[in-house]
Amino acid sequence: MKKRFKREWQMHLMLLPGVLLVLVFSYIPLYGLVIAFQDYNPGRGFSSPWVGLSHFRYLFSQPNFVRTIWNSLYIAIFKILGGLLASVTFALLLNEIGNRFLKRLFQTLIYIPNFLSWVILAGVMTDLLAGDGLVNRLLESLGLGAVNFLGSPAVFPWTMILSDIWKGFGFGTVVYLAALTGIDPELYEAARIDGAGRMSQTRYVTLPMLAPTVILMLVLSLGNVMNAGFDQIFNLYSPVVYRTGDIIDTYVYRLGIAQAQYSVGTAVGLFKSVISLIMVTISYLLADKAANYRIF
Amino acid sequence: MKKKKVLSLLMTAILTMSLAACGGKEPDAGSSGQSAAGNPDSSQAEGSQESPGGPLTPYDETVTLEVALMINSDLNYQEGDDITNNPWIRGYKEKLNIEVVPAFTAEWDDYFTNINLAIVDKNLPDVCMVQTTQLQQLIEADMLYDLSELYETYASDTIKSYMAMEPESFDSGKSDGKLYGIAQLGVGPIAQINPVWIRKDWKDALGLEDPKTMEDLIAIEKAFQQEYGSTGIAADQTLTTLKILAPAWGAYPDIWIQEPGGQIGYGSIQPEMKTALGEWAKWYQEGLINNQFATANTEKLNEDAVNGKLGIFPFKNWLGWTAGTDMISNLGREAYLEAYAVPQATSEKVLYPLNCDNYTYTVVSKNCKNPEAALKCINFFAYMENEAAEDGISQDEILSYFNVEHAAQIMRVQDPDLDRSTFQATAAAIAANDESMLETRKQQQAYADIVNFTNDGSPTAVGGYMLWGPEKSAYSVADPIITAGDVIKNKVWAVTPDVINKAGSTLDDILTEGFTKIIMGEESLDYFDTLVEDWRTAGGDEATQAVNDMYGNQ
Repeated sequence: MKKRFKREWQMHLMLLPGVLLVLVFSYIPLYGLVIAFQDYNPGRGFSSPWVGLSHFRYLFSQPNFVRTIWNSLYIAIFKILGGLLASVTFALLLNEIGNRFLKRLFQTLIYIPNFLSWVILAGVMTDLLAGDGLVNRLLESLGLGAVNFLGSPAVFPWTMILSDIWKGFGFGTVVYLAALTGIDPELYEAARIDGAGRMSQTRYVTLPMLAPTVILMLVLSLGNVMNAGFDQIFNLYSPVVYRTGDIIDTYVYRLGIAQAQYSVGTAVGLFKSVISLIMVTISYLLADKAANYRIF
Repeated sequence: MKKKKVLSLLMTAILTMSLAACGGKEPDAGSSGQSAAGNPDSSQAEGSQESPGGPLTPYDETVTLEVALMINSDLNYQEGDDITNNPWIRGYKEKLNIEVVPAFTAEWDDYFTNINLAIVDKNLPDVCMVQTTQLQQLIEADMLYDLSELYETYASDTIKSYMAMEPESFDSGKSDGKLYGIAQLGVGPIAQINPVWIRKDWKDALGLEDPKTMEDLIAIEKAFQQEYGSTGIAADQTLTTLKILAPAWGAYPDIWIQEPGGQIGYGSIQPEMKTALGEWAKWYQEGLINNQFATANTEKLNEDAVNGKLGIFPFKNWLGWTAGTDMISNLGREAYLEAYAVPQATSEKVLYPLNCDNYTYTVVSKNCKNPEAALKCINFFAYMENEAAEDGISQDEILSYFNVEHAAQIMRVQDPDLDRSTFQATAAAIAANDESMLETRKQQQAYADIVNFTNDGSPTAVGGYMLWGPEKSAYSVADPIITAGDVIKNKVWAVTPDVINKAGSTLDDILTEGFTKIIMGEESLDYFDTLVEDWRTAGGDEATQAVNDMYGNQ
């Protein structure tokens, strides 16, 4: 042990800054979680009076808080799954494009929305999706009825899910495209010799080789399962769609982060972290069982 | 530990007593401020230096005051000036011998974040401006100077007269009878009267009468829809505009009022609100309200107004700036809005809700060596605003101060009657067609806007015209209402009970969501009762209890 350390101490030294950073910015602040159990007054700091679980009890006694958990999960899960499906599909399709210029062009085009802020997009979407907006006029001219995209509780979550997928799938596509180029061409050659067509090559070579990346991305995104997209929803929702569109973050915002309710805010953050931890652990175990994939 | 507490209690008691004693000895702090300098009184708390007695007497030796200053990017300083060096800062030094040094400078949002950090740090600047929550936190953390005695001694008569106009706001700076925060006050109740705005050119072209009752208003809307394709009386997702009409039915949403039984209750859950909602639901069915209102926000309403789709718009007094300017540019000279009082829906008089419009306080750190210096600076602002001209200070010099009025933001108390007196003075000058009657910069500005708009129809002046104009402007509607006292004050003034703060807007959200459904006909009117029940169990009962505990026996 000692000998090994002597031999490898430079390596450990190089690790040190990273470890320190994580320690200072991720572990030490964990102490701040105590304010979830205190009636925090910034003037008194961490010696504010202890109140036990009262903030949590308060939150869960709110009839409208519990529905936000389900809304968050519902919206987030469909966003993750939909985003996955869209980016894998597009990566496969783009991969089949022979023309380098066209391939690059499409890749860039679908990646661009990713860089726009929701604040701007929300303004555009409100106009496009309004009752007399472009989309509804198009639908009406096609003989389909107008859809209340932002004002109907039944439609609103799907407006959020689909627009978020549209905005975000470009990033995933780029990642999967990179993974696709990493697949050994010999595998395709072997498949072709065995008589596999395009479809079979995709089915038996590409997808299995892509699976580890897909699972990695999935596991990583599940950590965000309680973050259903504050920016997007906050800029697009209205009281009429609270029933299905209000998520934890927007609710907590209205609960008064603006009024410096530190304790309640921390309580919610802690609650979300616990749920996320559980989700990540489960998905990791599943990935291990189902795909024999491990990160650690 | 316990010993320490007893000791500190004793100390406080002794200090208070000695303070009280020296307060009694002080010469009358009234008007002139020419009392003898260097009062040899050594019992001032916290070892403060000897100080001259009057509200505006300069110090013999320069006193340094560390102030957290707020940057306002809209200010046009003259060449070479900035937030740390401007007429105010120089004025404090020249006229009072107070050297103001910046503790930090920051814009509005950052400013209060910095204050929060200073609170956590337990290192408050000598003087700063805080919001209500922060004031409570600071009092609780015992970081503020008890200004009770100093206020009596040093605050000028002008400041005291302001406070006398808004005693509830003044008291909100107190805790246990001790004064910790000097309420900065607002522009007064006149700014809170929200009128109903009606398109002037449409109304004139159709030769319609001024609306007296709600039926008149509906008749006007119907005429607008027929002739001009109006999409309905302005309504938005938060119901802001409709709520402005609510007092017509005796409903006072969003404020706490005296219930018939003597208890304080929430206006939004009273039976009158149900009546109002019933009417609005009918309006919606008849197409008198835009069917997209549930997703519309105020920007959307402004857009509609500018695109000529709106004729009736109950809104705040600043509508002339948010919509008026573009309406004039897009739709023509006469396409602006005129203000009317909320029409009656019953035989009862319409009362207008009033809220506390004091949001900030000037506070002094417990460790400040010359706490009274802050009060002198506050006096100085009021002096420049009111008495400087009489004392022979030139108009130009006064203007140089008030061109950058916000540079004095941290240490000032606003005149709660300023907007009203400005309106009255301007209206008198317009009536007499005599510009020389104008006394202040604000009056001159208002006068110029009115004249510019009347003569040239200048789009940039319509905002001022719709606010200050001599007739059918926001203030011409509001002024007689204030005079007649047709207002109903929110029982919760300045300090909101913790349970309500804790709920943020979520309690109101329950109601807004439900009200929207009722108006859209998704739920029947009787759903109102279910809604009230929901509101009460979600914390409404607790809130009501807390409000009654806090404000009940007043």
